[in-house]
Amino acid sequence: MFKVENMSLHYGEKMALDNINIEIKEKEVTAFIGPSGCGKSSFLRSLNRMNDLIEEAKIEGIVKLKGENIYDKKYDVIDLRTKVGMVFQSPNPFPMSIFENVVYGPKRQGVRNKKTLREIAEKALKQAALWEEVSSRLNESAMKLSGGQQQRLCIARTLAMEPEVILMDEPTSALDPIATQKIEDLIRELKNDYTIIIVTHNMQQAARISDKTAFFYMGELIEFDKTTKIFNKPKYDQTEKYITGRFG
Amino acid sequence: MVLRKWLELAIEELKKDVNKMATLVIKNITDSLKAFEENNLEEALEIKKRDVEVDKLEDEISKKVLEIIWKEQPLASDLRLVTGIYKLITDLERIGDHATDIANITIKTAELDHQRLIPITTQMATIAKEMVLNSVDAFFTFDVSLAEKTIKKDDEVDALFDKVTNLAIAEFKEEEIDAEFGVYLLFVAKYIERIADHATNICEWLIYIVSGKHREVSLI
Amino acid sequence: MRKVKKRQVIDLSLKIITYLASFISVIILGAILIFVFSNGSKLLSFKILTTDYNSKPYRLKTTKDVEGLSFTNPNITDAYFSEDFGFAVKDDYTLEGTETIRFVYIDENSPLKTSVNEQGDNEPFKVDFIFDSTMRAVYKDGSTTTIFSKDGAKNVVDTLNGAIKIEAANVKFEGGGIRGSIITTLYLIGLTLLIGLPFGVLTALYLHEIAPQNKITNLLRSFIDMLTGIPSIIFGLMGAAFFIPFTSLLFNNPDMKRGSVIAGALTLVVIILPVVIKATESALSVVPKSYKEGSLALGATKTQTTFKIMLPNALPGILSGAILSIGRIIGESAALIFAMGTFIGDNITITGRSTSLAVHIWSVMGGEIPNINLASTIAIVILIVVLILNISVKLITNSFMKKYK
Repeated sequence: MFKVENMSLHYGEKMALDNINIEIKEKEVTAFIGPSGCGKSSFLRSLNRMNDLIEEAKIEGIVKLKGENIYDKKYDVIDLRTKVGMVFQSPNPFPMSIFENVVYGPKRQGVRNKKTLREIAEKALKQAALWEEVSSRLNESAMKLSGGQQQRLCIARTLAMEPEVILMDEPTSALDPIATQKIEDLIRELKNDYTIIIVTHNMQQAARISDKTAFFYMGELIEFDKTTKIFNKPKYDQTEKYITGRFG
Repeated sequence: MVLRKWLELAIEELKKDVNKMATLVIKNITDSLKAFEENNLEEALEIKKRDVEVDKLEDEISKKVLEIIWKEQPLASDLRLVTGIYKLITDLERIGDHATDIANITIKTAELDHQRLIPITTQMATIAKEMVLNSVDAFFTFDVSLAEKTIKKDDEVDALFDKVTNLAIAEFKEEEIDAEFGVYLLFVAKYIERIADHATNICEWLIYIVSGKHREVSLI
Repeated sequence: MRKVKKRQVIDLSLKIITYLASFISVIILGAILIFVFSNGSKLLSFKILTTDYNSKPYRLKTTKDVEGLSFTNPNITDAYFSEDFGFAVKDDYTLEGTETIRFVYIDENSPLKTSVNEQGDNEPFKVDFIFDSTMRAVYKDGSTTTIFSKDGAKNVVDTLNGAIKIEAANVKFEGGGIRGSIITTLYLIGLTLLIGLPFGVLTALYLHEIAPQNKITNLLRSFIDMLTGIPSIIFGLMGAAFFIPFTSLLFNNPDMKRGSVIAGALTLVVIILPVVIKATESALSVVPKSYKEGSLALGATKTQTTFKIMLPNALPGILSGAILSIGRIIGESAALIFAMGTFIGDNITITGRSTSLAVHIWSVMGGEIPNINLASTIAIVILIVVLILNISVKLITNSFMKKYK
């Protein structure tokens, strides 16, 4: 799905990512792990060009989505983001009704037909395992939902766009254990239909839900392999030390 | 600051316990063979008492391993070490049991007139004891090549056991030895062979701890 | 222990100082309100709010003679009724407080309804006409008597007893009302906000969302901040020097050279622009960044994000900017004196001249005899208008918030 070649990212003078080469397969869950500041979040945001929002950010190298370089001048950023969705660390539903939140994306793309929108909303909410909890109150404000529900709403919002890839930046770090569990289960379901890339600080979470794991350290990609390999016998000492918690 | 201090401490404790268990087991092997040869009843009884402790230790170590797993969620090398220990103490305990079995035979054959290990059996015993010592050493020094060498030694022990068996069968047929003595001697030989097997297992678990690969189970 | 004592003493003194200061502030503010209300409430009436300022004098004469019809007395308190002519008058005060005689009742069939002015146009007597001059009563035999208003209402009725018509009646439709100024003020508020809010909000959007965040943009922002501190009389000069000729040219109307409502509104736009820009930018910066990120991550364009997410969430701030602006507009006097003139008008048009309530106060206080009572009355009206507008804006804000949250 993604093929990254010799990619580097600078924020002004400071180097955030150095020479990243990685291939991400479709319909798998890939986890990005590494200590704070290692660049994993920056890399994630490069995949849907959210780094464009930061003025000093400069990218070198090639990031290909299904063969096309997304940083090419001709590539449509808006189109990219409809294909590559993102769920953030703190749930960020808009201060609107639940229904309006879910259909926000499609509406911006021009979908106006009320019936179509309702169908889209129902499908997305069902996929996000939230439909039963909210179907009777779609017009209530999204801010009334609990943290876990809000996060699932954000996932539904992304799903409503029918993306191919879902990027998740520490999606459960602000949630309680039960909400976390629900979302992990959801991710394990969703991977049948979507390519999922998740940044996480929680080693056990990465071990539980991912197929492949990438370990980042100080802007470099140190090791990328099957999750079983990484968590049982990683190739590199640094990876081993991080996973066993011998350094933060 | 040492990270994962408590995990490290718990692992150190585990290793100490394994050391204690191994020391007791090795002593039991040595003493059981000696007791058999010397027809030393008291010694045999001592061996049985010590085995109770060995069993207790296996229990304790198992419990500690499980506690580390649910508490510390070890990964990678920590995980392999801890699960490896969990498996090898079973083999260690079995070795202890077999030493006790030999002690039991000493007790059973106290009245019999006889006891000696014939040369082949003595040879087997020497190698088996060495294998146990080496397997324990290899574990504490993470010495994979020593472990591999020790595993190979098992073939020798097996070959020797075949020899003893054939010899026994032959002598039975010729009615050249006392049946009771012969049978019990065979038993002892079998127990020695089993001890060697278990020592091999311990070596295999050591290799798993270091490399993640086990003859039967491969995680990677 | 001494430390504890010292601390307690300091605490207590600070407390006393704050109480004292608050007390004095409240007293001062209260005193102002009491002053205004006590002076202004006497003249406050529905009439003064709905009457024109400029009085209209008439010189009327009846065209139908008294026919011997007998009119029924409506028996209005303190009023004197003329049975022949069918009207009632009483001794009264003008809105501004001077003595006069007021027509309080005129029967439909009264000859007074048939009066014409000097040009011969129909101009019937109306209730609330005041008479503070002279009129002539004409009798059957052709003789006349002059009636003087200073002789009182009863005298008017008595003298007209037996007369058949009235001539040369110098009556007035009294003015002194502030209707014109109220309407002007509302016009000003409407026009200024109509022009100023969009300009201000869009400028703030540019500064916050579109402009590259560099030194130049920051300089621009500081400049706008500085504008809030400029005394508005300078804006008034600008209004007089630029907006007056500009609007006069635009509407091709040379009468506008002395000022107009639109010129005043444009001047006010310049005054409130920094206020609106600041309030909007403030509100925009408080909108959580996560909303913006969330919107963009869903494939919305920057423009869609700005108008569907940023602006709606900045609405409370924008409306508070509007409230501040309304306050400025109502309170503005110096700038409007230059840009709009001081003629108190009654027929309010965008291109015409009139005064806002504040300027009206200036006008009545600036004459030879400052009319503090009237000024206080206008002040009360201003306070009420401000109160109503603030409450409305708050209600609108609340209903918006409910819709979104």
